[in-house]
Amino acid sequence: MACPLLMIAIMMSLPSIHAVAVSVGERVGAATWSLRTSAELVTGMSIMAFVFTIAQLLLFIEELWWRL
Amino acid sequence: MRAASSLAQLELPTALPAFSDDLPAAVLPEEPWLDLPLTWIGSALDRIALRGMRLAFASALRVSDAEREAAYESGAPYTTAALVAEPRRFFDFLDAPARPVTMRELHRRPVAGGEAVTRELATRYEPYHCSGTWPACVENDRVVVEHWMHRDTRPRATVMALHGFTMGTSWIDAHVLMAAKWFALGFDVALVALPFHGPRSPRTARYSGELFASWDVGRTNEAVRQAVHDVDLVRRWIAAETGRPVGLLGLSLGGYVAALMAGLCDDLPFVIPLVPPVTFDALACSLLALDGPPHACAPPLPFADLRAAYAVHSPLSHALAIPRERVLIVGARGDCLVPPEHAYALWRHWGEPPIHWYSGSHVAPFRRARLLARVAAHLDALALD
Repeated sequence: MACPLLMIAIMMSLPSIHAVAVSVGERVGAATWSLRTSAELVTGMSIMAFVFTIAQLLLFIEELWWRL
Repeated sequence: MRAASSLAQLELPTALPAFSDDLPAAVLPEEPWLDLPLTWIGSALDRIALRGMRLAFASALRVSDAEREAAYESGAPYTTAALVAEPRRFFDFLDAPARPVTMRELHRRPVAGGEAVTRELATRYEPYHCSGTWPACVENDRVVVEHWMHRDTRPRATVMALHGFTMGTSWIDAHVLMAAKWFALGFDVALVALPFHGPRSPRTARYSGELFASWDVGRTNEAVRQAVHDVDLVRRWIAAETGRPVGLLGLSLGGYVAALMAGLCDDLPFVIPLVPPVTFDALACSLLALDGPPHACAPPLPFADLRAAYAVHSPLSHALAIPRERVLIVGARGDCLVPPEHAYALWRHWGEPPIHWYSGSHVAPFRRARLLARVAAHLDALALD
């Protein structure tokens, strides 16, 4: 189960990484977003990804608990 | 019985009216004491996710004066007297004869008992109101569907599973929407990517669904309208291909679309909205505008105008078009993202159809076995076979 959870965590992080890449790209070109906005977006999405991963872990533990 | 207190946990700013004034306070059945900690833990996770959401989107969606003016103008075509009197006119394509569909198979992989086929259907969506803000987006001109099909047995029906906001990656959607469970119960499953989500996001999007929900009222309204258009396109195609009933199960934003379609399409065999919001304006304000000064993200329009502009596609603006017995609303007791007042308002609006409250929250739906059993029993009672 740890492997799927790790995969979920990585996959959930991808949008954040993508957001960084796009924002950096924009700054290299014609910047429309401030670095602060980009940082907030990435941090916020990482928090959401972390919470989602924790929730999935708890759901897995709960399922095991009821099966025992 | 007790009144839900989830709204009290949200820190609504004084500048915005609390939507509890408009939606009735939710009255939930008593929760078993053993489950109370689950709801508490779920609510705590929701509140952290809410913090992340506000941090992620509050600054990104802050509007300039020019954007505020544009937002005001973009909402006007959706508040005409004709649409207010008859909001179904907004979805006039549903009454038009079906057009031939172009389908292309992209990928095929085995799943236990069958195979998952990824397809794309060309959508010929035409906006209700053509404005400069509707993006030309090649990725969004096709509907990507992962279709789980039984190999040797006839499916009981097809469950069209609609994901939530910022989702749209099929394998994550399949996990969250419990596709394997429905498949094991004998249903085919179709995981549909909603407009501007997942594979339908433009390459420049920072996150899935960025172009779906913004303060551009016109674009958001058109995105919801396109979601209805595309879901209807896919369900007609699947129904024609399989000859079996095709119903809807939607989570969060997907639940909103499913609930809306329950008011528009009288031939749906079942509709199961999971934690569905019912008013976009209240949802947007609660999700995005709670970050107090100096990061406050004020809506571009006065609250009442925002509500009026979104009203055309609110499930509360449409009467239920199918028998109540075909509907099962699912709400979360500790939901802080889409508070229980939303599901409760929908339940009241639809004349109190079957409803199930699970312990947990938006991101942490505990007691899933009970939820699965409840939905399975509901589908069994419909005698779809």
